[in-house]
Amino acid sequence: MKSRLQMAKLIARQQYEMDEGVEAIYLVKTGATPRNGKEPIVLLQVNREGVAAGVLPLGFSAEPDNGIPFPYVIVDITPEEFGSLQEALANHQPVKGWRVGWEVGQKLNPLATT
Amino acid sequence: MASGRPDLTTRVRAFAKQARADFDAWEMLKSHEDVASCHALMFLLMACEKLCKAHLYHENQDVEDGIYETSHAVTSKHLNLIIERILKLKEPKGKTEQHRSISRDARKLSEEICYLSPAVAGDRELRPDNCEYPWRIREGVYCVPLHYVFPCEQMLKQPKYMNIIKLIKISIDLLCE
Repeated sequence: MKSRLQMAKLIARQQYEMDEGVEAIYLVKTGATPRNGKEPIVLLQVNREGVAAGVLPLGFSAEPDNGIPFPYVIVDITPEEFGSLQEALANHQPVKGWRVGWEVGQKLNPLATT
Repeated sequence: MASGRPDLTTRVRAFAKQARADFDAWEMLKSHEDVASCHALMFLLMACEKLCKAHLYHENQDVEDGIYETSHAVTSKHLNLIIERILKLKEPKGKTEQHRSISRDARKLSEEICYLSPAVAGDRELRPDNCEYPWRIREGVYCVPLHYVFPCEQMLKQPKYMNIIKLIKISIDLLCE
């Protein structure tokens, strides 16, 4: 069975392939301990074609047939929103929609699968 | 169809089930010659809004009721992403260029569906059309949604956009399960 990081890379690669507007995808460290596979994988997607409407995490069910046995979340934001988010997080300011304990983690390479 | 008994279910599924009912209403009305397209399209818009909100509640199950109900921006932000994910689920072996093309079309269609709502922001100077309220063309002259041919309606005459509509329906159905 693939690890959660491998799942995250798979979803990220699919998004890079699918959406030409995607500039970067980061794994979000949620601080939660995964239990029974119910803790979702959270990805932050920086999308130049996206709509600036704030941090609105979108949840998806597990897709075992698609090689993704965990539920997952994609937060789609514009590059400008990403800049504001990083600034707010660096200054320890609350961001509406961004969960307490979340951190922007590893940047996922478009070609990485493992 | 309503039975009179309350339908008790989770919030995500509740939104998905109502989205499916709205979608079914759109399908029924769009081919009915006595029904104006603005009215049929209103149900398509509502179906898409509820689909997006179901995915938002899916992620955040502890959030209080109604928090997303007033936000029309969520549809324009998320419908395209939902379509992309269901496309990847249904056609995992599809060619990248084909998927990108569908994604581009999905974005165009999502934008047009969102313009149907009078509450959605955007370039309303250029795009005042919406399926609910009349809008001013120039001083003293108004356009009535009842008689307007919406870009969205024109797009849905093309098979490639109707294929995207099928993906929206599959997304709704998956959340209803």
